[in-house]
Amino acid sequence: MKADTCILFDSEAAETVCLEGLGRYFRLEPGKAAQSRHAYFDTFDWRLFAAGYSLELAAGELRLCSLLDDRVQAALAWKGRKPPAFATEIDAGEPLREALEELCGIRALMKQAELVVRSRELAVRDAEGKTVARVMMGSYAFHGGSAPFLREWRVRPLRGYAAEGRFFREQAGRTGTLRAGEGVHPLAMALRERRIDPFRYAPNRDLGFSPELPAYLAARSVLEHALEVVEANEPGLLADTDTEFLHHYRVALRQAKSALGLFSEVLPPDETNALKETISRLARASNAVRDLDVFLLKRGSITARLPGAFNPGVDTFFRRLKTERRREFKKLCAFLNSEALPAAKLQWRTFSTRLANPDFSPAPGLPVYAVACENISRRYGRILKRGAKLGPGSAEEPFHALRIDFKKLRYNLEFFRSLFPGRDIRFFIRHLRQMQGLLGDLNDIKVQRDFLAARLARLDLKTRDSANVAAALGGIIARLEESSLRLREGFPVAFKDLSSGRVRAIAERLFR
Amino acid sequence: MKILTLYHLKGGVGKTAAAVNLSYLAAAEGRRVLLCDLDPQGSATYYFRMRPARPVKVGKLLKSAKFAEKLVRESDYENLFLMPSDLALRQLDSKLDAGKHSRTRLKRLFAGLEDEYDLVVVDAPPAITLLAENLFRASDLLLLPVIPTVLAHQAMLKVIAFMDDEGLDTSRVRAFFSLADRRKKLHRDFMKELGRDRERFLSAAIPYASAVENMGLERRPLLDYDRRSPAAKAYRALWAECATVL
Ligand SMILES: Nc1ncnc2c1ncn2[C@@H]1O[C@H](COP(=O)(O)OP(=O)(O)OP(=O)(O)O)[C@@H](O)[C@H]1O
Ligand SMILES: [Mg+2]
Repeated sequence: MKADTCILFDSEAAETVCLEGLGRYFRLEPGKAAQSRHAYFDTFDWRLFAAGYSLELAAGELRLCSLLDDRVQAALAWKGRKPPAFATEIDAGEPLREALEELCGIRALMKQAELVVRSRELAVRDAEGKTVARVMMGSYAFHGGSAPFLREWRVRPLRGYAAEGRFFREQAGRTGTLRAGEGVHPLAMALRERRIDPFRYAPNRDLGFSPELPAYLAARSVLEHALEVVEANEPGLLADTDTEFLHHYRVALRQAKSALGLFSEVLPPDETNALKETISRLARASNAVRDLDVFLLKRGSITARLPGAFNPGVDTFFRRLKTERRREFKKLCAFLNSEALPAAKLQWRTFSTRLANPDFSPAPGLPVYAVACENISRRYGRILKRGAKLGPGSAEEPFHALRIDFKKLRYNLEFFRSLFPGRDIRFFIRHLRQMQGLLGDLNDIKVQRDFLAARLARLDLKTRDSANVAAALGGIIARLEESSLRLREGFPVAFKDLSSGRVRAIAERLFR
Repeated sequence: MKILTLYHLKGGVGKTAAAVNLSYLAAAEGRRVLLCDLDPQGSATYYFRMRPARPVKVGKLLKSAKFAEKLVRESDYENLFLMPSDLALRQLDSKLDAGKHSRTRLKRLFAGLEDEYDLVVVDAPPAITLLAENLFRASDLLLLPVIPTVLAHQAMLKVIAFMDDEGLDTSRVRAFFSLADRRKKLHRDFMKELGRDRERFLSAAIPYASAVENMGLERRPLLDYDRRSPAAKAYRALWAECATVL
């Protein structure tokens, strides 16, 4: 029902009182009542929700709805089957599958919430029995939970009965709380009730600093947010349902570490170095698994266009990688379940708690804006200088130094986005993007090549299988080499855009 | 958008009963329907338990579809809207007479509602007036309920003769038997004889039935409270025929 007002009630008693009051002016006629159970599915990081959709299973139907108006985008009968863990479990060609593939990619779907929704229609009639408004009285409870966490009426006056509708709202508003509009999607309300922030998994959200905020407090909020992200991703990481948990976990670690560097001016050196070391150790413990994940995830693109003769070797190689990943993952779990993790988190938490006190900072008066400008302009300057020396023929090494500068610049921009005018900063970021992509690809190639080269060196070439693998690795490495060259050829163009007068001028104005 | 008018020179022949039930049936099929109650008696409006939301200014109503739209109220049934009647509608004739395009005023007014509705059903008052002439010109189907009696038939012929005189297209005029009482020999004979005129007479006939009379007590379309009665069945058949003509 397309409502134009919602009325919220605290309790069933409040609803009853409201109905009694309204009964003095209107004839209230209860209509159809319904009860249904809705299970909501999403990826661990709420990709559907973030894109404005909910995927729900109710009454034997799986449907993708818009959060805004609950309109069904795609639906499918789904009876007596396990809910799909991946979009690919839905029949090919189904619009629902296509939509989910587009929204979730290869992410797994999991049950995120289950609600029991009770609803009852109510016709609001005038003295002559003419309906002047329709109300959908709803109550929402968690499945297996106790009392409903929300009672809500959605009110729609009939056309031509605006005055009656106004009067109804006025009267109902005496007991309930009025809210204009169609009301919030039940899933969104459920999340709010459970205090679930669907965006908490995302490591790089805007932290919204104000320019005058002391830098040490900004550092503190980066550290706290990163720790939150780390902890939010831990259970999923251990359950190993999706490689993305580990990825976000690591991004958060990296952010914390780079924040310790960025804000070094306002942080006590000894404690900072100790924490940096600890965080690096956490990251190192998961390096092997992540490298393997990336390799396994990118199998398709890495082996694309490789001659068919290499297939047996490629298959064996990836089978071995999978085994290796299982082994490495066990090691990682052992580490995460050891004393090392709680100790590290305690150190981290203590650090950020102490950072609340200005005495802990060597420069408590420095505002975050100053730190941001200084860091960004220094990084950008260094990038311009280093980049100017590079051409298509240059060796790989300096490209990697440049990439690290770039990555740091990106972290800076991620942390400090909110300090600068949106349009300008977006312009700047947009012009960094091409170079960033190029350098990132270059780095991926290097990592992959090193990874393969190390494995090639370890191969025992006496067996037939290993000989096949060696051949395949040789083929892949050669292809990677080629791509690296091509990327370096594209460098001058990308760099020119970045160092152009317009981008420079904006940078100078922004980060002065 | 099509326009279906229930009309007859004679009063009390079942125009309003048909207008209400045909509107209901059309809307139930998913058409967006506007029932215009142009009879100052306001019987159709009464059946839907309505009243006008504001005093109707007839002069303004005739001039602007926008203003007309403001008078429209939603019925209790999906897709069915009503322009409620008002006593002021008794000025329709004089206002039509006073204005420009006095014979095509309504046709022009309805054209302004083109995007809003699929079907406009008009419940007209019984008289040959300027309003009736407007309706003759505007309607895609002019539907005459005819009680199977000599006088009712005479009245129908008068309407058609009048239209012929005015040079109007009478091919859009259809009649159906209304308040037909099969216990009466006279009714039976009459229906048999006139029913041969397939050009003019639709085959559905609405029987005389207390279920229909009860609309006054129920204050809703017959189809909503007694969908199985013979009269309800007859209205369904009537609507099916109208739908093919429209
Ligand atoms: N099929 C029927 N069987 C019995 N009674 C009927 C039937 N149709 C209409 N009536 C009754 O006859 C009376 C006149 O019907 P209705 O109002 O539909 O006719 P009308 O042509 O619109 O009249 P008016 O010219 O006054 O507008 C009403 O009391 C109505 O209840
Ligand atoms: Mg009438």
